[in-house]
Amino acid sequence: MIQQLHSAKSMLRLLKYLAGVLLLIGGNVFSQGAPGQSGGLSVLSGKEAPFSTMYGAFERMYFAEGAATDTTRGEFYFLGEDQIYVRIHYPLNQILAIDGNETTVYYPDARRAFRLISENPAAMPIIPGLISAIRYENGMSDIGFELTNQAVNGDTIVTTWHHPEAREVGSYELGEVEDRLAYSLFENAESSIFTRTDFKDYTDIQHISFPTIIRSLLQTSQGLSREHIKLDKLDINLSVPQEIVGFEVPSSIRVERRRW
Amino acid sequence: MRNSWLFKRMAAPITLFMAVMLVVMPMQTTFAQDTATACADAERQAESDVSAGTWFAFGCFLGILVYLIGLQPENPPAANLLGKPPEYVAAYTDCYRAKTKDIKSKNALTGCLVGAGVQVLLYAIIIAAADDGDEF
Repeated sequence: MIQQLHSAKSMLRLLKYLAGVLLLIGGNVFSQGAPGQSGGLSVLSGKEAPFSTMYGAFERMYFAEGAATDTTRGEFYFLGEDQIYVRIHYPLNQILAIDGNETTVYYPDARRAFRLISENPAAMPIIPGLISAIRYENGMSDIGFELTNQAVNGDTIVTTWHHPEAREVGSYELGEVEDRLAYSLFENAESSIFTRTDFKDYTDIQHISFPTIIRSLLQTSQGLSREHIKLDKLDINLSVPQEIVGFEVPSSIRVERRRW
Repeated sequence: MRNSWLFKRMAAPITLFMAVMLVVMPMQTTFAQDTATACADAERQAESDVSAGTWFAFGCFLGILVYLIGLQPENPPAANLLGKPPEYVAAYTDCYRAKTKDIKSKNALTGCLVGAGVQVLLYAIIIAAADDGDEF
């Protein structure tokens, strides 16, 4: 009986790790149908941020096979754990605010608004990619991965990571140049999923180096997609205007409630 | 003569109707395209976010508990709504929810049935082995 319980526990633990790893590689950060883009470790949330607030302007371009290029421009305020405010200027005026399990999407010009409720907090745009880039070892050991190989290739230190409980799922490779993450790469065991994210043009803000260009490539059975994010005017630990911290849709607008 | 009078009376509203349709038709086409694209995008994202294998395994090992526990590991891809029009948002959330539910329930059910089948088979083997043991 004890042996059965033990094996059941081991199985559950393995399942948990498998689910975790699948979430890790299957999660979404910023893009359409693009697991692992915008900086790899999408499981990272605002909790791991070494800053209380952040501001930035961004341009994001998304290319998918057989689809037109999608360009979005705007600015964002990261307001702490599970909270972000994003204002889009192009191609339309839109405000997207995530506060825990609630996502509000507001169109000032069209005078329409949605409140999307989910069981788990919605995946934040931009922030997970930035956090994974500035974390030591990309946060790999914090989520249970082990370093299995280390090599030097020119000016790049290349490390390979596996999960001890789910080695067959695949491996992560990280490339670091001068203590800054240059790229992260994931390939699953069957080579059916391949994703690479490059972090470039770092800028120092309050002693933290942030990449200002994040380029991701994802190859799955569904095709190839690319995402380019260009960040500008980054600032951290700034005081955020009250109308953004306590953002509310104007009372004259009817908010359509939906569940994810 | 009578036809000519009728034609004159009808010409203005018909022209107006056609003019309005010229404006409205492309908008309707755009709306339909937005909805179709949103649904295709949402379904593709759902397939990426929800692992069929994991849900099969959940169903296989946890059976009906999967539904009782209400496991929902994915974080909805709100970022995919950035820069998209309201019609896209409405269609995307509906299709994403429907697709994730579909993937989870189908695979958990299949896993549940396979798990139950394996258990029945194991019990049958154990019982058969016990019967063989009794014969000696």
